[in-house]
Amino acid sequence: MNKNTQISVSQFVCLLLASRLATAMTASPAGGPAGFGSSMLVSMALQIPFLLLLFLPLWWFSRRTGRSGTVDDAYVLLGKPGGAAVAVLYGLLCLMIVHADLLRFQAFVSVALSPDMSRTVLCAALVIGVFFAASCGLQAIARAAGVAVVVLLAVFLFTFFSLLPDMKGIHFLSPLYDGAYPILEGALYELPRTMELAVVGMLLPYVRGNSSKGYAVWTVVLAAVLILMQATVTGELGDFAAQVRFPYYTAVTAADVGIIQRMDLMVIAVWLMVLFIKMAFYAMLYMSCAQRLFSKKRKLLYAFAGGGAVLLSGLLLAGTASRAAQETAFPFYFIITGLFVVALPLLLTLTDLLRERRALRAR
Amino acid sequence: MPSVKGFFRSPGKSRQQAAAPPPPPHPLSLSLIDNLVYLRAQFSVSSDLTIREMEAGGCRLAIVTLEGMVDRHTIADAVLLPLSQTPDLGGAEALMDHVRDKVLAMVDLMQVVTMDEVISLVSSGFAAVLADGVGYALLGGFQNFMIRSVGEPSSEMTSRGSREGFTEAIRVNISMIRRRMKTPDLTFEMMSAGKTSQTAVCLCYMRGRVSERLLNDVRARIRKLPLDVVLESGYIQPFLENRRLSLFSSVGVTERPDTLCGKVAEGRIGVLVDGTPFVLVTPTLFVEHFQSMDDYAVHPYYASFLRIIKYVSFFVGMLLPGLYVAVGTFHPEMLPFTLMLSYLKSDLSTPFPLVMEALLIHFLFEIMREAGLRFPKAVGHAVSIVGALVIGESAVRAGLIGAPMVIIVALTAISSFVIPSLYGPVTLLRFGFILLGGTLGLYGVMIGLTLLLCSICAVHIQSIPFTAPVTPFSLKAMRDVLIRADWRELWKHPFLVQNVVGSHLKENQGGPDTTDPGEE
Amino acid sequence: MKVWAILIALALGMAMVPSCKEKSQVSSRVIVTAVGIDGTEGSAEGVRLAVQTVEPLLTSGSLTEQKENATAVYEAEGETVADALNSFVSLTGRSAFILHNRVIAIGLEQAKSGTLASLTDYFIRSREGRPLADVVISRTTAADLLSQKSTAFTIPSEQISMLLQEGRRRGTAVRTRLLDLERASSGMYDVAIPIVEAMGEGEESRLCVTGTALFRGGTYVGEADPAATRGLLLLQEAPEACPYVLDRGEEGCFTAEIEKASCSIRVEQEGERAHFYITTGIRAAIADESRPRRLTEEMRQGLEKALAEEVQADIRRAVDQSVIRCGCDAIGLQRRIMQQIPSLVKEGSDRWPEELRSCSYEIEVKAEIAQFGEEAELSALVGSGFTPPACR
Repeated sequence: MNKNTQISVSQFVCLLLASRLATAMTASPAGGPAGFGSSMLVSMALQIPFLLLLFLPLWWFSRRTGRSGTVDDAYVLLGKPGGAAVAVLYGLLCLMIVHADLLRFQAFVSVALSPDMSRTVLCAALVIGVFFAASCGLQAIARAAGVAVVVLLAVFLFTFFSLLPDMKGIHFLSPLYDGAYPILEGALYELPRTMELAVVGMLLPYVRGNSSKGYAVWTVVLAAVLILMQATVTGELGDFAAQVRFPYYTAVTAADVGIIQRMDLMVIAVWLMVLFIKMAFYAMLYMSCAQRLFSKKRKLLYAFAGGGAVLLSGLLLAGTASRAAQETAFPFYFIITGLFVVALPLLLTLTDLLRERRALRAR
Repeated sequence: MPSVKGFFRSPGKSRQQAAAPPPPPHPLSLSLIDNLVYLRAQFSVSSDLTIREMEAGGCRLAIVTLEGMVDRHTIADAVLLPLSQTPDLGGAEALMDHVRDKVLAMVDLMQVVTMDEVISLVSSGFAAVLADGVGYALLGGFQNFMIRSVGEPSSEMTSRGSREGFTEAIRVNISMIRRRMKTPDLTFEMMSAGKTSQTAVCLCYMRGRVSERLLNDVRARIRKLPLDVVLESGYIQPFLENRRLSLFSSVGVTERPDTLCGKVAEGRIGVLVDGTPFVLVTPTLFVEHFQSMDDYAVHPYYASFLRIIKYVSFFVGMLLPGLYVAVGTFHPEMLPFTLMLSYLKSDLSTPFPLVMEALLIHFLFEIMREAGLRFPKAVGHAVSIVGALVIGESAVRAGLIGAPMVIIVALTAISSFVIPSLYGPVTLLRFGFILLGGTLGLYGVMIGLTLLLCSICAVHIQSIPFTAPVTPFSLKAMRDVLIRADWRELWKHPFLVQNVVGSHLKENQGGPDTTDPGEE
Repeated sequence: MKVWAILIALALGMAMVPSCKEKSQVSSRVIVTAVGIDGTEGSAEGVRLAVQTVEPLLTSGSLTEQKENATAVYEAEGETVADALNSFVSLTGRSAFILHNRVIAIGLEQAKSGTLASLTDYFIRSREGRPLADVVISRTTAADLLSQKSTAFTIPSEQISMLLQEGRRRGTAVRTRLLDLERASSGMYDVAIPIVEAMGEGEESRLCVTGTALFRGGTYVGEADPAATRGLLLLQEAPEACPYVLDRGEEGCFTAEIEKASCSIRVEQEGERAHFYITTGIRAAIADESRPRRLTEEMRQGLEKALAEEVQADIRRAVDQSVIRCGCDAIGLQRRIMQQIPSLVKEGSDRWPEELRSCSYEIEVKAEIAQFGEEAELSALVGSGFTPPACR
């Protein structure tokens, strides 16, 4: 990405929303807290202060360094080897997220898709499309995210209101039924799903406007949408949601709106749109890291390498291995969040502080 | 077989070819004979070059014209006769002064010093007067070539609005624009394009409203055109676009002077090309394909309704066959039960898979449409009858295709013609979506649609986003997008294209932009 | 354009083209409109599946034009439902397409001997299982029910769906869908499933809802009669046109039609038990009167009181038969305790929901009957020379 690439704050918010909601729609309760759905409503609301708290190291970093971005500043503060290491880490992280999304896609379509459809060709088409879209650049993806998020929110609301007559109030218990611990557990369990935090540091230099305000708006809107989704799931399924692999999808299958017999297909279609944009976003970030590390001009090579690796590993790992990966995903993602969201910005900020003090002493 | 390295290398270096520097202009000689020899050599055996040599005012001079381009009688009466009666004025200079002031008494008199200009102007219907002993030529416009009269535009029909359309003559087109915009800010800048054809190209813009950076960029692109011959504005169009692989062009085309005036008033640049009534307009936003003169002439409620119809038609024309194939092949559970039974009855009665049926029938339709364009009018009716019979009743009765597919084709075709400017991209995308829907179902259609969305969002013209004001979103600008607000609202906030949300043109004013905005 | 990009695009296209040879996935399958589950004869294990199918080529929008064999019922056996559906393929040569399945019927004997979870698990798990499919119990066998021909509907299973839909509105039948079974499987509450049987013989046979089967934890525990069924529906706030005939002796016989029912359940703790306060509000309209005349305010109040008593009796009956007698918590009472007094359930979690049988229930009904016209207006009309029809 060059410095002329700029996205607005609202596009920034839409990008992060699209990315997070693509995960939320196919979130599985497996391996997570087994609390009642009502406690998850509060857990979602609790995301706001947690996400804002996690943003503090990045905020401090951006204030100090004039919003150069974590990768660029790593080159300046840690030298070329340090900068390259950071770029490699970010590149691998982004590629890993694309890979994880492909696995999630395959896991979902194995539940929802017709067996007549070729899964290999579908995954190949998805990966090729994603990397092609990634080559369109940050602005294109951000604009597309704006459209996708609006459509997605409209579908969420439509689904909620179409399911509302069928929802039961007795599905909702007091959020504190099992005490406060499940609420906290649920909130903490949701945090690592918010991998967007890890790449916000890369995006900051390209956001035109008050990015901190945009981030705050994102946390509030995200919490509101997650609460809406959770309310839909709880109102429709109640405790049964804990037994299904994809609760939101299962809840939506119960919607029957006039001529559209299966609302779930419409929701899946919109989810696919948002997932596509999310994968393209991370693929684009991966390619920009590769360009930072190597040459700016071999974008196509990076796309081929990354896309090929993701597709091959995604097709090979689908099934048992991916299930195992899902079981261990939670602590792994927690480590990733800690490293990229807290440790790296703090390290860069402290390095900058030390440099400044040394410079002052030298005078 | 291309090398792997070459494939991955950025196209920036590999496709640039060192352009041969243009030859220096050939100056006019003082010797009339040398000038005439040069001209005869340039035009070689071309029989339309007419050189009338004569003695007038004590000097040798020649009148050079191209037969068929000039009015011979006017030249004979207004030039030859007076010249033949000119007394000795004491030299070639005095003679040429006399010719300038008394003989060629016209507003478009030109004095040129190079043979290239003489050739160019003579080819445009000027008569050149060259004298022995003088290093310049005088040219007057005596154009009398046949041009098509101003008629109704063929491609942009409206129910309310002007019935005038551009013609092939650039001067006539300029006059039509000037008649509508009586402001000195309206500027026409003449250029030429095509090394051999030297086609006249005119940039039309409003000073004070157009972005200087945009203007410089368009000028530079036209000057750098590598084309040999320019016969239509479509030749120039790709060179004004930024993104090659996009199906949608950021350069619009119009055949209507009123439309062009409206666009120019919004800070855009019109590119008129001699020899074609289709004028290019840059930059063009995607939403403008859904706007027409009709919208601004009728009641805003009805205009808003028409807009919505256009948007719906766009999606129907592009997606309906693909969605039908996807739902019918992979997701019949989406259909209500009785509708599904009806669909199955037709599907079970036909031999082909739905995707094959759709591809076949749409391909046939395109063949018939193309044939209908080329056929002489006398047999045009027969073609439409054959088309209706072949595609319609007979195919269904024979069990080759299902009745629902005929309805789908008809709906799709009609919807496609609602927005003629998007017919090409919509047709291509339709086939793509049919293939995607037939192989990957609704998921394939969504992947294709999202990819298309990203691709459209990537298009920009000098940092003006092609998808503005939908994304980046501007609430104020939406009053003329999905709906058409009343003129009492529209006039309060005049629209300037460079001020659209997401544009950085205001920030960077000055020289031409040499970076490719498509690269990020 | 890069040559390799073209080659890759061509390769992808070639990979996609073989998929184009497939005709619609449905055209090679059998459309299933209803599924019936019975036990196998002479064997405790195993299920016998009755599958009602429709042949698209033989259907028509009009009953008179539709071929008689447009719908058919096939029977297949297997150890489980999935196994039986697999056997079905050998009968028809095609697999079952159950995405438009409307009804899952379970034979009463099979329902008594098995558990709901084991019988319906296939439909809950399968991506083709439709959550909005109606679930019914057949008084005889499910195969008998599905074999009933319909004189009013092109697809026979539509008749069952309409029966339940209208029955719910009119207070004669609860309506249970697969989604309700899914919800109940998590232990939140129990289900009550309508019992449908064919009455009459031959051409005069018709389908009727004759009761409600009660389940606790997915196991059959008893049956609720029509009055209790009505009570259950009132507790679910379902009726929209539920008639009550009120015989007021000399005043005549009135039919009050309940248009709207609202129910609130409040729980209070009494020691280790719960006391339920069930308050039901009814809004009704007079559908007809045996002796039409002016309704006085006093008569109206009497009618409201009578209606309230009838409704109260039905609700009491529902509670008695479902909760107290059978231990079937179809109303979700335990859930309400968890909402209002969570400590009561948490402290003695092993006693619930059995404890519901020994809880006390106080039922209060308030009825409001809307009158057609006001007395004052009517008397004004009479004074003006207008003669009411009753007086002619």
